[in-house]
Amino acid sequence: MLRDLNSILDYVDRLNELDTSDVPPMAQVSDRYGVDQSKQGSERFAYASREDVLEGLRKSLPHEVALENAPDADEDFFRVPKVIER
Amino acid sequence: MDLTSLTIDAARSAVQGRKTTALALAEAHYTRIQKEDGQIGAFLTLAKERALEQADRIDRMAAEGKPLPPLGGVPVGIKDVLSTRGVRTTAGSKILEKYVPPYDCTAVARMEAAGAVMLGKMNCDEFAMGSSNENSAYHPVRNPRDLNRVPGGSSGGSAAAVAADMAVVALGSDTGGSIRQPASFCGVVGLMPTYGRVSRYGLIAFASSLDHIGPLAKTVKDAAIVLRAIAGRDPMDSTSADVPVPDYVAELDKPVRGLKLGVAREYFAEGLDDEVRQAVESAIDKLKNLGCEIVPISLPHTPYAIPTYYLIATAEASANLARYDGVRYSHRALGVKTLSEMYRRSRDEGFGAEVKRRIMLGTYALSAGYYDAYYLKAQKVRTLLTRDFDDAFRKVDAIVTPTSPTAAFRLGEKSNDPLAMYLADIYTVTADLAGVPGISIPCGETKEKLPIGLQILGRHFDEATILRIAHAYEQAV
Repeated sequence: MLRDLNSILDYVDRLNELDTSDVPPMAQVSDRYGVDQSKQGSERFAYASREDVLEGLRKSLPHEVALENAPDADEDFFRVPKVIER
Repeated sequence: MDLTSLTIDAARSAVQGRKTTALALAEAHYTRIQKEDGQIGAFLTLAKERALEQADRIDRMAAEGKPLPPLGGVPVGIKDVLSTRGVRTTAGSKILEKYVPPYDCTAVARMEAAGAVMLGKMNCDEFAMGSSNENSAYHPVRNPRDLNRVPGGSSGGSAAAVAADMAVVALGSDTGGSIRQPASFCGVVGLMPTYGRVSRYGLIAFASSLDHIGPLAKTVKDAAIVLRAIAGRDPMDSTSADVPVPDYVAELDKPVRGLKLGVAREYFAEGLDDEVRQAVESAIDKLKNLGCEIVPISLPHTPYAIPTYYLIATAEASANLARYDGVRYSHRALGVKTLSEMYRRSRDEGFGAEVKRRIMLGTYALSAGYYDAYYLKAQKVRTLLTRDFDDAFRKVDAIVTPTSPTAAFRLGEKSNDPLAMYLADIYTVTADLAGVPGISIPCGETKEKLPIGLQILGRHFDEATILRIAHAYEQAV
């Protein structure tokens, strides 16, 4: 595993052959779709947002359904080993 | 009529015209699966109850003379990274061995609304990480064209099932080539739509800015029919684009004369197998004879695509796979005494080696002190790669390349050298990084009768053009 990780890291080093000092980073493709360049901050991404309506789009999963795949649960909660260690 | 060698239209019209039933089609495919899949390994879970219920619904419509929807009665396979309500979904991993989703992936729901009969869940590389389907935690998939060879990955099960007539069409996912490369290795059609063309809601996420859902099919027309059914804005996926869905099928027969096809020198350089080169060049000649103009172009940053991909994809994967913690729905290790022991042991037991490798790489690339050198650097190179495509598409309408540098390799041949495996993706990862659509179609065979794939890349949201070119080529050979 260590040998593989090291050889991959050596390989990705070749990105340093490129001068990217004036290149903006690209986090996602959808930045290009419908982004309003005239706006600032989150308003630029209005295309991706919707009304914040409670239960507007679909109902939340019923409780029992949400707990169905749980490795350990009671009627209300997922049960896990203790979180706070003394 | 051989019920397992039909295309979508042939199957649907046979059911509509009462020459057969959706039930008979489903049963014929299950019989074939029982006979062939022991050797191939394409299916992880069969969904007989759901399939037969849907078949019954379609048969009643046909009996009442109602017009069937476009995929009415058509048996389909669904890659096991797509969530299916009530049907176990594993993502090819032991960590989800018992997971039964409480909801359907949008693409699956749209397929069923179009009448498709879901036969079962297709084997794949674990969490879609792989290029050979050898990373499945269950068993590898073998190439139906040569059982000693890989079908490609990560949608190996989907490609193999369609190639072996165990399904008429299948849905797969593509993050670095996982639809196109197995399509190429198995001799079927594989379409990766533009990023955002098809909703990712319900797709078990690997790399959220690179994941795509798309069809693997026997013909280009079948791929177009499926795309038309599953594409379109979904309020449940904020990255799904609000772009109208054209009738991809109606556009197929438009002439290709006059279209400019770019041939990028970086895709025909060293590392490309001679037989693959010959088959692809011969395919390009055929396209020229159909009236396309061949234009030499350059995509200069292509050699940097693999390192860029393996930094961005692994970084995103390390975030997306953090949810498998043993708390709510994934495997939990037994006898753990503290929360952190639970996380550590559950994930150690549940994840395979390649998944662990990628999570560690990704975490490292994002860590303090290394973020700029690795992840941010990769994001900048991603911009350069995308600009290469933007520049090219000012000169040409589509770009033609080999799908993969080789035909299908042998099982075990690359599984000990992850980097060698990664380099197999060289012609496919660029499209995922730029978000452009790509299709792989069969364009010949090697001397050992292994399929070779031709890839056609197009502008964002211009699937109609690449489908048209692919269809014209398919009809001409």
